[in-house]
Formats: sequence, C-alpha cells, structure tokens
Amino acid sequence: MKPNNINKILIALDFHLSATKVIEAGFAMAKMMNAKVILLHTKIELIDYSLIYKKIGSLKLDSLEDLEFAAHNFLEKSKHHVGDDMIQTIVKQGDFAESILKTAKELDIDMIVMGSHSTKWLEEIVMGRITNEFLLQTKIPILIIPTRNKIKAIL
Amino acid sequence: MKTNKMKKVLIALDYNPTSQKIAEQGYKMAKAMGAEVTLLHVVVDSALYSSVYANMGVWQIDTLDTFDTLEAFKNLKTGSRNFLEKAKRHLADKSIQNIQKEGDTAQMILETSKEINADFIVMGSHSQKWLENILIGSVTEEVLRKTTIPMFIIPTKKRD
Repeated sequence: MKPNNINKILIALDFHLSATKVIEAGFAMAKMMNAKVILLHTKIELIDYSLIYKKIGSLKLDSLEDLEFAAHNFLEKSKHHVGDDMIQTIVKQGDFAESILKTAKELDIDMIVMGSHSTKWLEEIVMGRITNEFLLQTKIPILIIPTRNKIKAIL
Repeated sequence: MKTNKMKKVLIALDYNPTSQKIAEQGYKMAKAMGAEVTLLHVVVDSALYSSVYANMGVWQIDTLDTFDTLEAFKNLKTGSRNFLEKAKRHLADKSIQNIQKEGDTAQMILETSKEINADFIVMGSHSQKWLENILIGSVTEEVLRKTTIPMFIIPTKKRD
C-alpha cells in the first residue's frame, strides 16, 4: 500500500465567519501530507444573495462585478492568511455541492476540506435524501471542520 | 502550535461491507499525516435493544430469559473483538489500537474520541442499514452534528 497518495487538497470556503478556521485546518492537513492546496469559493446566484443579505441591510452587494471582486478578494485574503502564495485559487458560480465536486473531479483532487456549516447537502447525501447521481458518485473523502459554535454567534 | 505531538485518528467501523474501505482509506490518511490509529467498534447495548423492542408487544425482550440475553450479549462482544482483530490484521500494522464499546454508537464514538484525545474521527458516509437510519437516524449524521474535532468522511455508496 502506498502510504501517501493524497497530493491535492481542495478547500471549499464561503463567506462565513469560520472561513479562517477552515483554511487553517485544511492548510495544516495539507502540510502534514505534503499536498498541494487549492482554494475554491462558489458564488451563489445573485438572487440568492439578495435573499440571504436582506436581513443584513447595508452589506448588500449591488452587482455581479462586486460579487466577483469580493470573491477573489476573499480568496486572496485567505491565501495570505496562511502565508503561502503558491496556493491556487478558483472562483466558481452555481450550485455549491455540484461546483465543489465538479472542480474536485476536474483537478483530480484527493481530499475535500470544508466547514460543517456548509454540510447540509452532505447530511442529505448521508441520509439518502439526495438522489442526484452526480452527488452520489463522489469517491473523494471529505474532511469536515466543525464550525458550529461560531454559527451560533452570528445567528 | 504543538506540531510535534503525534496525531491520533479514531476510525469507527461497523458490520458493514464498506468497513474494509473505510478502514483502508482512514488508515491511509492517518499514515499520510504520520498519525496513530485507533479502531473502534460499538456494540449496541442491551438497554437500547430493549427500548427499541419495548413497543413490539409479544416480542418484548423480557419474555426471553435472562440467561439467554446475557449469553447473546457475550457473543456480540466476542464477535466485535474478532471483527476488530481482523481489520487490524488486514491493515497489517501492530501499532493499531483496538477499542470496543457498548452503548449508543454516536455517543460512544464521541466519548472515545475524547478519551483517547483523538484529533480526527473517520467514518463512512452511508450506512446500508437504511431502515435503521429511518428509525433511529444516521449515526454519521449525529456525530457530524455534535463533534468538536474534524471529521473525515469516506464516501461509501449504497452498493459498493
């Protein structure tokens, strides 16, 4: 058995307070395994944003460009946070689960890292509520970083 | 940061055909981090069985005599021990620690992870016991909801 064939780790980040925790944990894991890190942020449709941000008021993003800019800026910041400029960053748009799994397939990822607040869909797969073949076909292990305590703080 | 400390990985297994895959992948990941591996199997305790069966009328557990129940439970424990030994032999690593627990599976996984000071928990995504999932909820989901340490989920398809 080859002891180490985890070469590429995809860290999925969203605009959540726990993003720092997720990237730190994912990055530490990658270092231990000597693996390459790729950061992914999936923009959701603007219409969803407006639903989510309705309650926040002043924080509203007004255009797609702003959103694009914010996404890149966010990943750059995250990259600098762990101090590694070699990290590749990717911004995608669309369905969260699908974009993560698609990207993982495209880039031949060996492990996905994400925060537990974003695992609703995973729970649904676990519980078998999702029948989408694509989601069920994943063979890539997922590392889930618990972020729940922080979720409570912002709710 | 305490980076020099040896990491510990807890791999929770159940009697499921996918267990071999979970053990192998979890082990591979642990070794990639240079971590120690502990295998855990939880025997559902008799109290839980009796509460599950309590509503079944004539099939109540207390209609069985106590001796048989104890004997059956002992067999469950021996079976569990053999199962873990087999898994350990399969991974061919003598440094692996095996732990057996009795009780509620999710709760025991979380408790054991605290006891041994685990850094990661490894579990499979699916259980084939779909009926059990509907009745008492998915164990993986429950651990996922309550864990305070990172959890490594190995996708296991329903038919793997």
